[in-house]
Amino acid sequence: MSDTRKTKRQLIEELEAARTRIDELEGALEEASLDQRLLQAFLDTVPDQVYFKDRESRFIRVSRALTEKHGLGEPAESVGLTDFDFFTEEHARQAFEDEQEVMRTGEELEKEEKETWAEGRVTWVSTVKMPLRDEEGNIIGTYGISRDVTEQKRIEAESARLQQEVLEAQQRAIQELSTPIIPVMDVPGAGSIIVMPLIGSIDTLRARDLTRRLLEGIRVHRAKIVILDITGVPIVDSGVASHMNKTIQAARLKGARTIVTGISDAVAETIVDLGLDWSSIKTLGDLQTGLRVALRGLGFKLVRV
Amino acid sequence: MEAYDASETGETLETFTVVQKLEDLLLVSVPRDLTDNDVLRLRQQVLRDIRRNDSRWVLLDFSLVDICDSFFGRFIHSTAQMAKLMGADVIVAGLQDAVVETMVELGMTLPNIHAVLDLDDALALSREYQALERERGAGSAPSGRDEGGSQASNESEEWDAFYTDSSLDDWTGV
Amino acid sequence: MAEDLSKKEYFPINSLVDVVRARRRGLEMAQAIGFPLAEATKIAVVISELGRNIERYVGQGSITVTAHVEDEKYILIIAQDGGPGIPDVERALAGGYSTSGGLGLGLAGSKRLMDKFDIQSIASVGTTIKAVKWLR
Repeated sequence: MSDTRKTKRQLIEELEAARTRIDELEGALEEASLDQRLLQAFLDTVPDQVYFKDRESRFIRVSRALTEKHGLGEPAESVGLTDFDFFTEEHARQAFEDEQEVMRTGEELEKEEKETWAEGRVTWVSTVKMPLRDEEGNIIGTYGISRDVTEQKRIEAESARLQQEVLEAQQRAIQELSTPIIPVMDVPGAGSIIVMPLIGSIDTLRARDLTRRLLEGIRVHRAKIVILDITGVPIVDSGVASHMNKTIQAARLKGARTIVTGISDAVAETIVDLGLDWSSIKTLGDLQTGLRVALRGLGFKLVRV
Repeated sequence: MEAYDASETGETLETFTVVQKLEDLLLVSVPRDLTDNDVLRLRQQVLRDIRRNDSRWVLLDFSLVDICDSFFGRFIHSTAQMAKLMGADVIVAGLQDAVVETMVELGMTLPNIHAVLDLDDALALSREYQALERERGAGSAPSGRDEGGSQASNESEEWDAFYTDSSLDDWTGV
Repeated sequence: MAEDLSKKEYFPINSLVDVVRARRRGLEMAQAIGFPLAEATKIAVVISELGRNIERYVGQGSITVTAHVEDEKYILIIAQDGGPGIPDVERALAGGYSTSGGLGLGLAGSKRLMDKFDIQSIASVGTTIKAVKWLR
């Protein structure tokens, strides 16, 4: 018998082995094909910007969403391009550095960043960059997912702005409520008396607002006498006293005289202790007396009938 | 009454009648922007008219003025001083809210000068003083006319009187 | 209506008419970026004071008014002249030159009306005054 002639059995065995191998390969090919199709399906439909980049941060594979956001026609057009082809030098440089960092440390990087496009457009994204490894675990590039949050950012800013507006409107309302102007007497031909009860602490900003409202009140009500009641002002220091002085001087220039009422014992002590000069300010203990004096000031007196 | 022609001097701005007589008041409508030359001529005009009309009061109406600086404050003071020497008291009227705020911030409180809201109040004030002076009689010396004293401090005295007036407490009976 | 862009206007000061023009524009510019009337008036008064000082003591100079709106809103006034300079700036700011009436009252008052006030003065060379008022 010759060696070159394999037995029939040997041939069949080799054929079987080859067939099995072919089956395995076909199976593997189908699996790889399926993986490929799944990846493709994913990249075609995911709404976020997904990308795979090489060590030089050039695009290898991208999602359709990224293609559209970058203004390209087909994903294939992106291959070989970098961020420098789409964004400003500054932004592209930052992204490049981030990717280099990711490849160097092997750690993922997650951040919210502003994207500045070459043509001037500005968008905001929430992005994560990860190292791309081969089968042996070597880092061969990066891959990442960016979600556009421009709209959210806009809504956040708008919401913050609205909150601020509401806050300011509330503050104004509080200010107005805490310093009402009460016209108490209008004597036709002689003028009127207005009362302004102050409540709360008086700082420079509030004092300015108070003065403004008082001047308006004097003008509107044609007030000749203003009764400034400070019962509700807890602290009267030299600052507050100076503010009040200015307010009183301003009232005078609008033709109104001012009486200050509601000075507590504590405040009286403070004024003297601080050496404040209130000799030119007319003060009285309480609102009632203030009212009577004011009437007298207009040339009237209360008479019981 | 002469029209005050501000354009005669090189550096002036407006031309219209600013000084008018109203009863024993001399009504001065202060123009919005005054250059130094305007001020000199205006003051001359005012003093001339006080004498000519034997005016008791000079009403400086600032309704048109929206910007006032320290020069403006000095104008008021000097005019008031000169007018007083000639026997007339000055009343300031029509100061705008924003102007008043700024003046007070600058420390320009115009002490010793009457201040009222507008022309109506100025007239009322002048009549009040007229009545007071009549009450006091011809021989007495209402401040301003003879003494050249401070009108506002006279006001202050009256004000003080309200506190000591015992009739204040008498309001339970007729 | 609020302006979108910062604006700067230059006013040569050679006469009192120039001062009046500068302060009036200053009032308008301040209101245009949102300053309430009373605050805008204060700015106009400072322009007036500084302008008058230039006109009275030097004869010529300039005032530049900037209405700034990006990120923060403020009015910047820069008053410049070519001499003779203010000998004692501190004294001037304290109202010390009030005997002449003009300089002391004007500078001290102006400082009170603004939020930031800076004077650089070199004898025989000139004076530059910078003042800022922020909105709110």
